Amino acid sequence: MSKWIRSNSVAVIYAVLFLITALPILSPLGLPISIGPTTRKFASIIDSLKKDDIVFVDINFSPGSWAENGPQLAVIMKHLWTKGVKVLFFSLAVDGPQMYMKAIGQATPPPSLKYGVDWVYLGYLSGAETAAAAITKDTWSLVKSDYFGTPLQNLPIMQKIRTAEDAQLLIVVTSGEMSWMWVRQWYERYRKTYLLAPISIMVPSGAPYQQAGQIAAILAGSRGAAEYEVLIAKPGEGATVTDALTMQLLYLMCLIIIGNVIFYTQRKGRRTSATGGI
Amino acid sequence: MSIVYRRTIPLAITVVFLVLMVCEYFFASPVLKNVGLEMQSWAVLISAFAVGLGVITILRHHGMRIAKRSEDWPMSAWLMATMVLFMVLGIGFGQNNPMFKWIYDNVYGSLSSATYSILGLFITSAAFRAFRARNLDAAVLLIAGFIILMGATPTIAALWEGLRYLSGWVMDVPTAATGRVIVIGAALGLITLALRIIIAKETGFLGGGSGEAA
Amino acid sequence: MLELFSKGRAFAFFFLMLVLVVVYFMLRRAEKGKVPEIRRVAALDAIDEAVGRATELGKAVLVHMGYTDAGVRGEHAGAILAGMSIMAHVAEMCARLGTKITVAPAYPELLPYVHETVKSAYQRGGKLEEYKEDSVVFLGNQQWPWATGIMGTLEREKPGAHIGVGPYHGESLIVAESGARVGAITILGTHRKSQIPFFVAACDYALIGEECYAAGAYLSKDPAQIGSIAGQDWLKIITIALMVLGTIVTSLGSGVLSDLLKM
Repeated sequence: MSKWIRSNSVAVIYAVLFLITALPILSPLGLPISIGPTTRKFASIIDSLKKDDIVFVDINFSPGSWAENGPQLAVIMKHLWTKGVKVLFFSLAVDGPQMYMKAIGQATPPPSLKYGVDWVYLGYLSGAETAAAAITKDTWSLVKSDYFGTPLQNLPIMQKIRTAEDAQLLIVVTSGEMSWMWVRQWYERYRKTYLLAPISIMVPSGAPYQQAGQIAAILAGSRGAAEYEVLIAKPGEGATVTDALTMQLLYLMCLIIIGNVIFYTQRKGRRTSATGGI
Repeated sequence: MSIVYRRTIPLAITVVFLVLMVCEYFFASPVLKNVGLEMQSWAVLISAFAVGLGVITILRHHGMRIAKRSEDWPMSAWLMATMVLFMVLGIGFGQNNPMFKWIYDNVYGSLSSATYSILGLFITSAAFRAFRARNLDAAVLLIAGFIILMGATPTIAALWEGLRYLSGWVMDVPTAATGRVIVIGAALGLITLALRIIIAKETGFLGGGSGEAA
Repeated sequence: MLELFSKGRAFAFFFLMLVLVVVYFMLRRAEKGKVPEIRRVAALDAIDEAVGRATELGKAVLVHMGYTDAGVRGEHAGAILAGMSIMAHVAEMCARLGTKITVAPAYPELLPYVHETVKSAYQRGGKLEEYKEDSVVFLGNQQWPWATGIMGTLEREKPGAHIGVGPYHGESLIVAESGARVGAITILGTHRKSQIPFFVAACDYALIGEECYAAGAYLSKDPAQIGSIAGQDWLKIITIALMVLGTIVTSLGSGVLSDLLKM
């Protein structure tokens, strides 16, 4: 048995990982979640928005990272709906429109809010940083209609939005592609607040910008989304996967320890045989 | 194609636009700002074309493979068929039509998520294989990695709040410092590469050898 | 004079000018014969070794330039160009040694250049008749299709060398680990600090940050280009001096340097 495990060690590792990920999702363990300071800061900045403030939201991820960015976008949307603000959604990622449709299905706006009056979605804007520069400089010059084909002049919300100067906040939900570009195009040009919701792996890269004040707060992946859901008491997908996340990370730590134990045992064995057992 | 078309003209275009955009960024001139805005619009248009170029390239590449009956040509035929079907649905019936959405959510979305999730498996096998405390440097890296991992685990962080601050310190001080070093070094490297390109010392990207001048 | 500049960018402009002057000075100095010595970069030296090993084993070489959503239209264009320089060098080596090369760019707009580069490499190596258009494969310009294509190519072709420099994203570990699994000598590099740890963990050799940008100059062994790398190092010294000075000055309570940087 141990010989079989040794020769198929990778397969065994993957099989165990699959089980410890699947089981908590099928049968939640209810493990405790604590809310981190950056999540609290992220939520408090959105909480401090006033009625009719304008928020730009860049939906900048693809289906591959839905597991992390999806819950983030949904909980951010739910929080924004409660603030009475005007939200301009757009996407600098090709798959953004589908992600918007999926998220808005999960974070359905309350009946009191109307599309075109309280929020609008401009669709995919090609050009990456050039599109970002253009939309902040002069939105109307870049886009003539929203994602659904309605001319901008027929949308009441767009009468108040021309440039980034009209907005109070930018929120970027991304798998990391354009996070730092927005520091240049939003914070450095307009000195307005920038909130970032990237996947977990991008969080260390954002630390220097956060320390410099260029990014006000970072919501860290699915864990950040789960914390946010608990904080504003609006449960969603994020909270359901934290049990699986905890188990995966514990498993990873165990594997690293086991790997090092095997390494040192084998090294000791090699030294012992090299010295003839002395 | 003569070297003038292959190297000199593309290089000249690169230099002109590079200088214009650099000046637009640094100087407070309304004329330059308008030129910059105009060029940004051109860039947006060109990038939109690039999306279409990808489709044309795939059709051409796989069309040739089917025509020549290359190895695995049925796979190319399957790719073309699904691509055309998806395009017809999306362009003909709109992106909100139920069939397009079904294919997008249940095929493309699922496949993308599945491929992304392979990362989890590979991280696990790479961690098991590579994270060994072979020497002092590796041991320090391992300990720091462990602190971060424990801080990232929601339950452990909930049991001991201090871990979150310790993990935060590791992220905010040594990790951020190293990140800044890499960013500054890379930025200087990028400017140097740009200068080498402008003065035609580096022409690898124009089809020449890396040491060939235009 | 400060009114000429956009708000907060005057210092950045003068520093950029300083960078250009220093690099150009060192480049010209090297051209005139005073070639500086730079340290060996193990990953770049390993490229030639990896191609040689692939040739001995009768295996192919797989080369790519990473993936980024915006391609050469975005902020990572420089890294893609650096990857192209390495690709040109590897293509020339493969042409001379008669080794099969597969280049898998993720950017359709670059395809004509990639074809041209590989063809020119075969021409310079005197083996134009051995050039095949099939050596450049387009696996897609979306992240996961491209990454899956690379995985499939690695598993099917089992190349002896797997080389790539460019702006990798979430697919970096997939690409690196797949190369390691098929036993190829894997040399990957990126400037993106979030992906560097994956390459360091999973690859045989990793190029970190500026090593990617210096690769073209380093591999060419052209004195002028080596001089430019030395110029970069002088600028790093100037930057460190500014940081140390800034730390001291700010700790003493003066805002002179930070005001200067915000000029």
